[in-house]
Parts: sequence; C-alpha cells; structure tokens
Amino acid sequence: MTLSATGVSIRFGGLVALNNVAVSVSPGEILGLVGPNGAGKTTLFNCLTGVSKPQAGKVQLEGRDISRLSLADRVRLGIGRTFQTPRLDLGSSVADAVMLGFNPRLRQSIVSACLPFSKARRTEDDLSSRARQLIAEFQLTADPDSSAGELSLGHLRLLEVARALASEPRYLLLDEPAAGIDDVDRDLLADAIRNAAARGLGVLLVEHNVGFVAELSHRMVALVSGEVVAEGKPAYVVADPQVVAAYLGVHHVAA
Amino acid sequence: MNIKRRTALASVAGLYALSAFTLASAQSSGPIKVGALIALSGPAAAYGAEERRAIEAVFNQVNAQGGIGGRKIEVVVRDTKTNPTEAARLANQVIADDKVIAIIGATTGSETLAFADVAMRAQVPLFPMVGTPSVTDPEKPYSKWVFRMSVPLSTDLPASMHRMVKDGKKRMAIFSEEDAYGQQGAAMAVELAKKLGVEVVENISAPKTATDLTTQATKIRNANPDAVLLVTASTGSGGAFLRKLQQVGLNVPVYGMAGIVQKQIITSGGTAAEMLIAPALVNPDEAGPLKELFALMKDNGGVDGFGAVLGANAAAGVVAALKSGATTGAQVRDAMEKIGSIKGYAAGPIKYSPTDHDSWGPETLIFVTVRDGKFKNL
Amino acid sequence: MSNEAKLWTAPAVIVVGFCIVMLLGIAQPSLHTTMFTIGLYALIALPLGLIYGQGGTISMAQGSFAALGAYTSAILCTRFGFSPTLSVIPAVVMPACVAFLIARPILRLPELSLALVTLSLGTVVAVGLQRGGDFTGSFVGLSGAPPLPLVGNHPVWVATTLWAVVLIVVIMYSHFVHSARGRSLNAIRVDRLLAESMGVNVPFDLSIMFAIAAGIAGLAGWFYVHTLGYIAPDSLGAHTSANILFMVVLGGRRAVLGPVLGATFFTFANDFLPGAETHGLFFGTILVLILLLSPDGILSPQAMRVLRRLFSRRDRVSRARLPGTAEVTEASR
Ligand SMILES: Nc1ncnc2c1ncn2[C@@H]1O[C@H](COP(=O)(O)OP(=O)(O)OP(=O)(O)O)[C@@H](O)[C@H]1O
Ligand SMILES: [Mg+2]
Repeated sequence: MTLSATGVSIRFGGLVALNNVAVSVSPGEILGLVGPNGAGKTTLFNCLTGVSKPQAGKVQLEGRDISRLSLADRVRLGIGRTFQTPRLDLGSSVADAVMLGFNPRLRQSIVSACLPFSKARRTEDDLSSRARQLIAEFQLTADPDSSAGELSLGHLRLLEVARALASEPRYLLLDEPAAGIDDVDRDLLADAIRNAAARGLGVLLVEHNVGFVAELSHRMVALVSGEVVAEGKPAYVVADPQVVAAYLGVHHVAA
Repeated sequence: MNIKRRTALASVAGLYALSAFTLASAQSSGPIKVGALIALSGPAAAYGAEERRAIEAVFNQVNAQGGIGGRKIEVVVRDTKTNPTEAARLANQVIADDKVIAIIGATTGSETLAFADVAMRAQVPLFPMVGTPSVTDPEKPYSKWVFRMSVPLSTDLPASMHRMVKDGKKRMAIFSEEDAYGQQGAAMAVELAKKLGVEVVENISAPKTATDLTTQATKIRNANPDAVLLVTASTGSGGAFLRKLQQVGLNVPVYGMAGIVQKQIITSGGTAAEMLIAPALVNPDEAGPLKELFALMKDNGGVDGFGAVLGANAAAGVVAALKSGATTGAQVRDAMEKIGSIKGYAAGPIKYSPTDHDSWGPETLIFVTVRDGKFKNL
Repeated sequence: MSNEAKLWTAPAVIVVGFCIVMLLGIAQPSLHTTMFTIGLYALIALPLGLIYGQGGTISMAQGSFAALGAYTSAILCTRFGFSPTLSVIPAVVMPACVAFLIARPILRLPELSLALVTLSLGTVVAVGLQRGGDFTGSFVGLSGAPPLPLVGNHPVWVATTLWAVVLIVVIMYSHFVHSARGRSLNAIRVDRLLAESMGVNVPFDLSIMFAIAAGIAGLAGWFYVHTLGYIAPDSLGAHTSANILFMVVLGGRRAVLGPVLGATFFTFANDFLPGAETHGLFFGTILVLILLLSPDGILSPQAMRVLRRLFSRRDRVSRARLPGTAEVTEASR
C-alpha cells in the first residue's frame, strides 16, 4: 500500500540525473527528500507523476504498475503535486485558480458545462464555496475574486498546495513549498502538511531547509548526484556524513 | 412599476413585429432610383471604374434632357469589392433602403450569382455586365430577372475560332486561366474544335495567381501549333502570357476574347501584343461604328475598353424600359422582353425576348489587332 | 459581481443590442440584413474566441469550415433532394469531423505554424471546391439552395433566427467559461503541463474544442447558403478566416462578447471604407493601435475589470444609500 519507485534511472544526454533510485511513501507518512541543487529531486518527482518517463525502473501505486500512465491519468488516480516554480494563470482570480484543482476528481461533460440549470451549475456553487474555504484556511487573500497575479510568491506556493489538496490526492508531492515564504505562512504550511498526513495522505516533501523537513518528516531520504546516499529517521539522515558534506559543500559554494 | 414594465415590453414587441411587416413601398414620386453594384476595388476594379463612368454619363444625359416624364434618375453606386458576400449584402441594402427598381451589375459572375435570388424575390431586374454563362441559365428561376449586358462567352469564343478557321489555321493550342470563365471557355473551345475540324495540340491552364508562365508557354511552343486561343478576360495575365510566348520564340497569331481588348493589354504585353487578334466590343483607338459611345464618353474620361460599352448599354437598357412607361421592377423586367431593339451604344443591335436574355450576338463584335501600340480594326 | 450576473451579462447585452438595432431597422430596413451579416460573422468568430482566447489555439480555418458546411448542405439539397431542415445536421457534422481528424497532429504545433497550417487547410478546401467539377459547381459555385425552413426569406425573421442561435452560443459560452471544463481549457492556454497535472487530456480536449468550433462555423455556413441561395469558392474561405481572426483579436479574444463586438465593428466599418485596397491598411492600422494599447483587444480582462468595478461601485453606493444617511450621500458625490 505505497507509492513507490524502484530501480529508477534516467539520463539527459550524458548526464545521469537518477541512478537506480528506490523510494516509497506509505499513506499517512511524511517522507522528506533532501539533497543539494541538481541532485535529482525534481526529476524524481517528474518520474513519479509521469512528467518524465524513466529509462529504467518502474513506478507503482499500491501494487499497480503505473509507469506507462500519463500525467493526467496519474493525477486522477490520486497523485497530486506542486511545482518548484508555481504554475498557474496569473490573470485568473484566486478562486478560479484553486477551483482548477477540483478538476481531476470531476467527470464533467462539455454539454453539462455549457448548459444553464445543469448538474455542472449546481456543482459550480459547491466547488466555489469549497475553494473559498481552502482560501480562508491558507489565508491566501481576503478577496477570492482578486487576481492571482497580486499574490506574493509565498502565497502562490500555498495556493498550489491548496489546489493540490482540492484534487483529493492519496499522495501529495510538494516541491520546495517553503522556499521564499515567511514564518507565518511556513507554520500554516506545516500544519496543512501534518493535517494531510493525519488524514491518511502520503506526503513526499522536497525542501532545502533541512531543519524544516527534519522537524516535519517521519522518515527522510537524501539524494546526491542522482543516488540515494542515506535513508531513515530524520536525526540519522541529517547526521549522515555524506549529507553533511553535500550540504556543507553547497553552503561553501553559496558563501 | 410592474405594469409600466409590461407596457414597455409590449410596445417593444409591437414595434418589433411592425418592423417585420413594413412592406417595401413602391417609388411613386421623387427620383427613380437605380442601383449600380460595381467592383470599384479588388481584382475586377479595372473594369468597374469605366463601367461606372459610362453608367453615370448615360443617366446624366437623360436627366439633362428632363429625365423620364419629369422624374430624374438617381443612380446608387456601391463598391462590391469583387467579393460575392459583400455584393449580396449591398444588394440587400440598395433594395431595402434605396428601393431601387433595377440593379446594374455586378462586374463578375460570382458576385452576380450571389444576389440573383435576393433580387428575384424583391422583383428587381438585374443587368450584369458579365460573360459567365450561368447567370442566364434558363433552368434557374432567377434567370427571368437577369438581362446580360455583356457579350456571352458563347458569342465571342466561337467568333474568335471561326476567324481562326477562316485564316486557315489547323493546329490550335488553348491557354486558359483557372477560373469559371477560363474553365468553361476551354471546354467550349475543345467541343467547337471537333466541329470545325481543328486539332487541339495543347490545352493548358494556369492559376490566376501564377506569376511565371514559362512552363505553359514552353509546352505550347513544343506542341508546335499554328494558332493559340487565349481564354482569359484578364489583361494582366493575358499580357504576361503574350510576352512569354514571344520569349520562348513562338510567333503565331493568338486569338483572344472580347474581354482582353483593353488598353492595358498593350501596356502589359508590349510588342508581343501585336500577335493578338480578338473580337472586340469596342476599339478604344478607333471609333468606327461606335461614334455615339465616343461622343458620350468624350467629356467623361474617354473610352479605355469594353467597360464603357457595357456600362453605357446597361444604362441605355434601363432608360429604354423606363421610357416605355415602366415604373416598377416587374414592369422594367417585362418591358425588357418586349421593347425590341434597344438604341444603345454597341456595334450591333441588342434585343431581348422571353427566350433570349443574352442577346449580344456576333454583330456586336469588331475584329481588332495591335499595331505600333494601338488597336487597329481588321 | 454575483455568479448569476457573470453568467447572464453577455446574453443580456446581445438581446438588448439586437432589439435596438432591429427597431432602428424600421427606419432603415437594410439594418436587418446588416444584422444578418454581423450575426453570421459572430457565429463563426465566437467559437474561435473560445479556442483561441480561452484555449490558446489559433485557427485560420474557420472561414473554410463555414464553406464546408455551406457546400455540404447546398450539395445535399440541390443534388440529393434533402430539405434544409435535415441537411443542417451534416452541415455541422461534416466540418466537425474533418476538424477532429486533422486536429491531433496539428494542434501540437506552436502558434505561428498552427496559423500557417490551418491557413493552408483553407487553400486545400478552396482548390478542392474549384476542382470538384459539376459536383461542387467548380469556380462558378452552386446556386439554387432552398431558403431556410420556417422563416423563409424574410430578412427580419432570418436575422432573428440567426441571432437566436448566436444568443444560444453566447449563453453556452458564458456558462462554459465558468465551469470546470472552461478552467481546464484556460489551463491549456497558460501551460499544457499545468493542464495535464490537473487531469486534463490535452490533445483530446483540444481536438474536441477544435471540432466544435468547426461545427459551429458549419452551422453559420448553412445559414449563409440557405439565405443567399448561392455559394462559390470565394464566398467564404481564406479571406473570411483572416477577417474572422481580426474580429476576434480586435474585439477581445478573452471576453465572450469580444468576437461579437469585432464582427459588429468590422461590418459597419466596411460601409465607411472607400475600397478593398484600403481595407488592409485601415484594419491593419486599427489592429496595431488597439494591440499596442491593449494586447487582449478592446474587451480585455483589464477593461472588463474596470467596467465591473464601475458597476459594482454604483451597486454599493445605491445599496448604502438606502438608510439615507447624510454621510453616505456625501461620500457618494
Ligand atoms: N529536461 C531536462 N533536460 C536536461 N537535463 C535535465 C532536465 N531536467 C533536469 N535535468 C538535469 O538533471 C539534474 C537534476 O535536476 P533536478 O531538477 O531534478 O534537480 P533538483 O534536485 O530538483 O535541484 P534543485 O534543488 O535545484 O531544484 C540537473 O543537473 C538538471 O540540470
Ligand atoms: Mg528541483
């Protein structure tokens, strides 16, 4: 009963982005994924969600091989994600941007969408109020009808989390959701992640802020140059010499 | 509030219904209005401008002499832009708003066909200045309302080929443009060649937009004809084709159609235009039998080609019908079939009957060629 | 703005505008046929607004799809004795099927290539019609298509029927943009990866929308041929497609009413322009000016927001006025 990747390898030209990687996350578990820039974290997300097709290995959802399924199909099976750089229509309203998240769970016909007094109309009101609830929960904005372009980067990240939750995923993959957000929002985010896990969602969390991940995660995986170098309890992974070296290296370069 | 709204709604509905039943009231006083739907822009604009000058010249002359029973003729000119959809919209406009009793036009066949039904329903006769056969197709109900004001292809094409036979030619190559006119003309020429005992050694066409006719000219030269039939009404591509024939070194007479006898063919064809022999409605360089037309156009921009003949005759036809006492579109139509020969501006008589809406026969044609940059009667 | 207002503003504008022009038609009857022309263009342009403005998929084939619908119906009626009531179905289905079949390979292309490919589709259709011999009437075209069922030829009833269809399309379009499907289509425009991650089957959805757009254009073609009784290869075609795109871009591709506004502007502007040669210049200049000022056309989202704010402010003021306090009245001045 997990979402898992086994033996996943992918290369871009000469660059080996992932080399025989195996990870798995179970329902209710928060799995932290850390690693320096270019380690392959986003690439692993892409393989799990179907954006990229690995050259070797397979992806399984609760025992079923989903390696061949498209991104859209996997979302409908319950794999929700956010993007490292938020993807959304900055011209749409905040409410509409969140409401897009309900789509994977809806099976709306075009005819129903076009007609007044149809089933789609009735769901529309329901979706709108649920979206407004999510917007309030994440304190995105006081006016859900305002333009999404007016939100800060931090709020855009939260909006993506809210949108991903709207699709009622069984597994939630968050790609650096806390990058560039302020302390208040970070606490909101942490609560949302804990709540989601408490409701039985498996959460895969990529984050550079090791402290933040370590505090939230039940288990951690460290990725360096496309290979898993450490895996286990947060305290254990954080202390792993290779991880420390990788992160120190990063800090040295950054400094 | 509620009652007020209801009365408002009811009056809007009432007015709306009224608008559906406003009937076209016949013109009984004021000027007699005649529509002129002419291509003043777009591909056929070269003819349209001259047609317009001639139409206005004829009506001005009639008006100067006191009009028709004291009523002036007012011509409502609209530019169809050589576009069928636009032509149909304008036809609706002049019929509904200006209540014209006849429409002169259009300049091209497909524009005419686009409003033929509309005009028929409104009982407005049409005088299209086009050679396209289908506008007077007797099987179509609208043809009752259409009087051709140009030489039909079935007149000038055979005239040209008979001339060819008379000149002793035996091996003919056909060059046509890929449009309605060229296609129907080429088919007609192939049929007639069988009857006349002329061999068709090459039958080739080019798209209207073709810029290079080398392939076509070379193929024709290689077929070794002793005459070429040029089936196009476009002076631009006609001239280009003649130049190409000269370039590839073929020097045989080229028999053209009436539509090509325009001053532009000499400009665009250069010395190659001297190969041309064509039946013409008018020779712009020699009045010949068309003294009245030249007199009419003298102060109205002169005669450049057959556009003047078509416009002047179309207007003369309408005037003749009005003079016979017609005051409605239906009466104009009936008069056209009855009044016999129209005193017009062509080389021969124009006379319609219930079975003939084409009229313009071979008598209306004069054969011309080009010498020293001028048309010369043969 | 309430949900209901969002859904019904555009249809209400259509109804009111139509009634006003038709009443003016009592004084100037040609307005009735002008309304037909506008309605015809609007009907071809509206679905382009949908697939281009919402879905980000440009098409220069709408005129040709209309021609396809018109020819289908004309051929069935004049050669096989169909009645227009019956032939309306193939007139819609035929272009829709053609569009659906070609959609998948071409809709992957970037915007410019897609414009060129759809434009050349128009050329293929035109050449096919010209070379179709007696079957399509070749260059001369087909005449003798019977008048519309029930309403016949009366300009007022013809225009009313056509605009009833335009109204239905506007209502459906308005509802569509405020539905999950509408949000999917917008997501495709913004970012295909986003759309897929929201469960959208992008190639299939786009193909369906492309086909629907073609089908509605076919319906417009049906109106065209049974109103004029005649259709030729140059009646509707590549130049129509280009004009339709102009209407959509000028009027506002993101707004439901943008294409209708564009069609109205285009048709009336035609009457004031001296000739076809000046068209390109005039419309080109207008387009450049508008796009410099407002890249999304006249009815751009920004313009709409300003309008909406204006209206909702007036709402608020009038509601606030009810208690009749001096303070509020003062503030509203
Ligand atoms: N589509 C692609 N084509 C070529 N190379 C790619 C592609 N996607 C990723 N890479 C490369 O693969 C490596 C792993 O990238 P990835 O984005 O997965 O790293 P990451 O761990 O998410 O890093 P960051 O912390 O910077 O987000 C990088 O070297 C990157 O340049
Ligand atoms: Mg990354």
